[in-house]
Amino acid sequence: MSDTGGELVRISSLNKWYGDFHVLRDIDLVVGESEKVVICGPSGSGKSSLLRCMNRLESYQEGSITVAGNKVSDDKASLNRLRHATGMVFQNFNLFPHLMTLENLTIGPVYSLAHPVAEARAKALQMLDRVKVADQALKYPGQLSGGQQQRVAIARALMMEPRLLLFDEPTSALDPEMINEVLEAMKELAEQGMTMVIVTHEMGFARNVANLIGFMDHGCIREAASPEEFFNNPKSERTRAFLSQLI
Amino acid sequence: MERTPYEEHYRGAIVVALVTLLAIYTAIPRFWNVYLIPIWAVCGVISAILMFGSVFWLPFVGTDEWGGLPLTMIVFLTTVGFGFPLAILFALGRRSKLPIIKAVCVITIEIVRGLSLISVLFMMIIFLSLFLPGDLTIDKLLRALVGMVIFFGAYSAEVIRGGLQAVPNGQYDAVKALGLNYLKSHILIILLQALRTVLPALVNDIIGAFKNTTFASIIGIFDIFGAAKASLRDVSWTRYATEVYIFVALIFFIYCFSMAKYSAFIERRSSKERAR
Ligand SMILES: Nc1ncnc2c1ncn2[C@@H]1O[C@H](COP(=O)(O)OP(=O)(O)OP(=O)(O)O)[C@@H](O)[C@H]1O
Ligand SMILES: [Mg+2]
Repeated sequence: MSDTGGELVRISSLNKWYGDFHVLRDIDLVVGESEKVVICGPSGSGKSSLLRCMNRLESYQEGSITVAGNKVSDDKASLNRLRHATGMVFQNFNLFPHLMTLENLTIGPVYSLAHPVAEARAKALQMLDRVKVADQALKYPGQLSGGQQQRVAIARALMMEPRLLLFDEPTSALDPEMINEVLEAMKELAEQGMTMVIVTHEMGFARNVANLIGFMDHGCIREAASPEEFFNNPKSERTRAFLSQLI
Repeated sequence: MERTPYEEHYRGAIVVALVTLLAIYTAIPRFWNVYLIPIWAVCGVISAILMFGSVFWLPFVGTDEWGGLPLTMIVFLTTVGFGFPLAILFALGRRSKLPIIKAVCVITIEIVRGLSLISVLFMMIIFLSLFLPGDLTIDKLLRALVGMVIFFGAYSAEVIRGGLQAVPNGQYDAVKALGLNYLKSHILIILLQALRTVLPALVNDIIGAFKNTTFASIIGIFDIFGAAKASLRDVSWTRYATEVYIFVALIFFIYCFSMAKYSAFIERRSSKERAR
């Protein structure tokens, strides 16, 4: 798939259970450097669980995941490297409500990477500018619109200079008129070569940006194909049914 | 038993003034800074020097001779100053994934919460002497303080735990995704938010701790209440009983009322930050 060579994520035969519930079944997925993978599928199919396994917010029972050369495991040092190599953007933003926008951005570099405060602040202002919310630097998250909050959240993830960005339904909690400003910011990132795994139902965005679209259902990846193939010639019946629901 | 000699009373008065001024300074949000911690530590050392004496020109005064408002202040500040960090440790420990830490915290908290402060204080006074070897005596005030600290810690731990539970899971996800470790993420993000949510309940506990200092008089420690009672035993004072008690009540009212008002101010202040 990848036209840039290097491989950033390799997931093989991944299985995960919540108690008795088999939430991920034999997942195989490879994400190349600067590739964009979109994952879609019905609610409860395991999309979030898969994403959260990639940065070890969730553990898994079988198979293996390697991200940027780190085997995803509980080993402290490798877990640290993994968390620094990945950034995550959440459906509900998860900004720190008691900190100003600027502090939300600097807290990672300063306290996780031990960067000097002044340097982190300068960089934070740059990042905020990049997602076009520089004028909100001294406000608290509660004072921002949903779209602004999500763009701040993207900037916060970028502050750690991750090699892989994970997005879990970044626009689902937004009012319709704010979805585009967030998708724009993501598109720009994609154009700058960021490697991204995105759970979303924004099919227009997926068509434009993705190298690969994966369709998940009951814990399996039923279909993984390029956008053209995925939309024009889906192989599985479930994919077709899902797409017809969306449109 | 002799109280502090009259000519040494000014030392206690200085302690009260010092502590009150520093408390007012600390209360002003503009001055919130980590430097407050060493400042308070220095204040504690100065207070101890003033109270104990036996350095410089100050004659020694043992804790069994302490009394009055200075003692009330010392009991209160020690209770909160040590009890509050203890409460945080208890609350975090109760959520720990390590079974031993969790068990120790749960058992301590539940036992203490099943007791009244009076019984904790009597336990400290009586049981400790039973269990300790005969020649080892621990200062009575110190024992009462330990009892009060543990009592405050156990009760406030449950309040803080409530606050921790109110922190959304997404916040934990976010700190992990940023690679912040347990200590840093708890100090900077999780605890700060938890404490904010439970601030009113916490201030309640703190005001309670101030009122609870009077229990010390029951085990023979002459806090302001004990001192008032003692002075009334002097015949020439007895007829002023009403005035004496009103005066004591007034002092309690002033301190507790200002704490309550202050907490309301802090609440308004932090809700402004969150408002859309
Ligand atoms: N911590 C958990 N414990 C138990 N079951 C869970 C847990 N988290 C998720 N599940 C279950 O696992 C299944 C998959 O959840 P997941 O969040 O991965 O789905 P999803 O595809 O992201 O769904 P959605 O589109 O609604 O976000 C769901 O049925 C959910 O109820
Ligand atoms: Mg989900």
